[in-house]
Amino acid sequence: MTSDTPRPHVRISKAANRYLVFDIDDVMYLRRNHSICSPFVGTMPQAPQQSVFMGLPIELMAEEAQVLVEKNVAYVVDDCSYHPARITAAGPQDRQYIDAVQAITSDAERSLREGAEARKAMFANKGSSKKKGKKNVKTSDTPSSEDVIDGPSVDADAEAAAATSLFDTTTESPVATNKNPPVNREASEPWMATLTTSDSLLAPSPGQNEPLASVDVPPSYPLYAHLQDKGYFMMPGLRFGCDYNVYPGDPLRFHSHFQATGFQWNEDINVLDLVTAGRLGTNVKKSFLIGGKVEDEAMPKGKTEETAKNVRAFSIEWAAM
Amino acid sequence: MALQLAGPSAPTITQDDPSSKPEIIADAEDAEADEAISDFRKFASSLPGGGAKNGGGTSGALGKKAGPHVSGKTVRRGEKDFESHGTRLQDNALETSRTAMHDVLSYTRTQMPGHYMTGWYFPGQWADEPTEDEKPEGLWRRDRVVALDAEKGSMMKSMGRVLRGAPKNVPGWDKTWLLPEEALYLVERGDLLLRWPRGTIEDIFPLPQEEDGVKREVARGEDVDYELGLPLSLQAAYSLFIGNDGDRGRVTLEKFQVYTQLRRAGYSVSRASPLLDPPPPSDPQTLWQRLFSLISSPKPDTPKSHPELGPLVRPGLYRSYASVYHQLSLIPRHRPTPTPNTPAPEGPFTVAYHVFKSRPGLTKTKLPSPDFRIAVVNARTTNVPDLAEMEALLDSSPWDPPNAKSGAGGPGIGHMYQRLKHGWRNVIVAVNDNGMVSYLEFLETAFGEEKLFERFDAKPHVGGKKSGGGRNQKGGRGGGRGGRGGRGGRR
Repeated sequence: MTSDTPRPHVRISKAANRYLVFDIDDVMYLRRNHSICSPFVGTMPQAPQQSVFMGLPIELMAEEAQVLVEKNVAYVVDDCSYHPARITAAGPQDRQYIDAVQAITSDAERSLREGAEARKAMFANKGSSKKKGKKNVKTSDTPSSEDVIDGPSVDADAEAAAATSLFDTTTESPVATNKNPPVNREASEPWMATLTTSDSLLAPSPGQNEPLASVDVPPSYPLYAHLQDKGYFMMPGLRFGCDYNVYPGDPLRFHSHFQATGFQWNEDINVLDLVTAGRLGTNVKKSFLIGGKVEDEAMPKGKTEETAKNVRAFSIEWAAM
Repeated sequence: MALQLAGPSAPTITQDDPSSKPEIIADAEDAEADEAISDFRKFASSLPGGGAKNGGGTSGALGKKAGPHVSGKTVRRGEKDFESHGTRLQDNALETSRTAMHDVLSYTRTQMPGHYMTGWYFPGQWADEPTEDEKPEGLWRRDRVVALDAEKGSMMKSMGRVLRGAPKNVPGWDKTWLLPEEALYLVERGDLLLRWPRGTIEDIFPLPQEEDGVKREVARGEDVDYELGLPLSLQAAYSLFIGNDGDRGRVTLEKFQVYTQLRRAGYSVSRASPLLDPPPPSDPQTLWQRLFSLISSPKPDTPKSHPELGPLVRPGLYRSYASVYHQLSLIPRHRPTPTPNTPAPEGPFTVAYHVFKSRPGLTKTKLPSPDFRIAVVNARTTNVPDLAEMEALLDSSPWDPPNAKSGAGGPGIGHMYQRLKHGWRNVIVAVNDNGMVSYLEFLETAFGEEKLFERFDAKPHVGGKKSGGGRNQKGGRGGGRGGRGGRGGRR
């Protein structure tokens, strides 16, 4: 179960009983290697006015956090108390963190300046181009499309952006490196960066000296652990009125097959619940899957230990009579 | 608009592509719900620089910089497969999606001079202020933990407040202070640089010094190497602002997620201060009338007392349906009242946010009556509300009877369903399951207020059904069978 790679453990931030992961490399690692496809819950800074695409962090279900801890690939820290304490305690790690911020800001500053210079050089080559309309911009802007700041690929927005920058550069003095008028007004303001994680601030080596937090899992955890052990990807079941929405592979690529609900082994199941879930499942082309941890007396002899192995699951399909 | 929010769908930008060919319903539903993670490849290519990596550009800061304007419409959904068929094509497609996702999300928020706001975290500054319960004014003073150097950009039209009435000898008294959800949302957007002050609040917001009776502004100290305060990360912001319900200066993650979702969808959202709701319009009934109605039943539609034996409808001569139906009404039914006396709601089923549709002239200092009221519950820890909780929640929202003024159509049978759907009070409950949110609308409605039988008396004169009127008379003559005859007349 333990990962062979020397990869450091994934740090899970616990904030008021919710579990978050901020590091994109960790997120992708979990996705590729541990079938974790939790939803992104943050606003995406590049496109902040939409909710179709979401950004970091991801929010893990408690079950996911627990599975990862049991697999020994992650650890959980109560960030609400630990993180502020780390900020207060100034130390050598501050220096590292500040260096990281400064590296990012100087990068951004440089790339903006270079972009502006490249563009200016380009326009200068074009000769007298004071009264360029949008039509010309389109052709002249395409070469700079690798410019990360304002050289977007060809679409309407890009044209508009390029047009603005064109007008700015023509109206400003030729030596200006900053192309936006407000910059002059706020000249004293430095470049800044909001890092996504505070890794370097938190601990010299992750996992060490950090107080571990516990995970409270719901009663359906055994079913989750079982399906997760089989390599299924799972999402919260809100959309289909179940505990988990079960995918055969990465939801980026695949539709889900099951709506899963966990039960206790000796729990009575209302037939109407089966009908409700079954009908919904049929409508959305999914099977209703139920399962739970086998109680000791019902267990065949010789099979015990791990939670994941003691679980049986049944899928219920609607027969078309 | 209410319908858009009601029901189990999120108020997201619709992402339906009109050009896509119609699918069978099952497929469409499946796709609708499955498509939380849309195709990052197409998204990446729609961003400037192909969703480039670190330090790539300024954030769409303050909406001024020509940030990438990506709407749901420009992003087409990706195709999905049923299951893995082990082909390299499929593997490659998945790998490209993942790489695109990785690239898009590796972005680090950088703040370009002049395009960001700086906020300083001072959690203790207003800790001694009265709570919202003690002094309801919608300001949530105690919870304001971030002070801004200066307001900038259109986002601030509906966020942050200057605490009016704060004493002028307190540093930061004239600054805009943010609630935790506002600060975190701005950090997420990249508009706000959050800093952890190394010194005291006087170092950051020095008060004017008085020298020989002349007030002199004092400049803030030098900020070499971020000595004044550490610029905080997104993770740090979450750890400072997310907490349990009731923690001062924090917000629960489920509320925050609902807040941001509504904000992204273009609504203005403010923390609800339920006590601030305008008082209900004066009760049409006077106190005496109400007291009197408790003793007897002066209203014709309250259930009549019936003898233990005998027909429900007393034998007699009936000239209208109304009198018959009044006798038939046995079960007391709900009548919404403008002045309820239920206790204030407690626990999760409490209105958390007031939501306003975007409109010109909406100012944060003088908010009108909200368009929606939203309570936020955690899907995993909350049960369906019991009747008392539901009543308390509904009664905490103002009296809003269905009439032409409230947009529920005029009187008359044609608008009946509109009226029923509008209800007398309404609250939206956002159910949050680990970051996925579903919105349900709860209404206080009264079917008993729609008296269908009143039509029966009016109609026969207008309608050309002579036989109906005739039978009605016969029913009346039938004496003991009056009730039955009357009904027969309609069928």
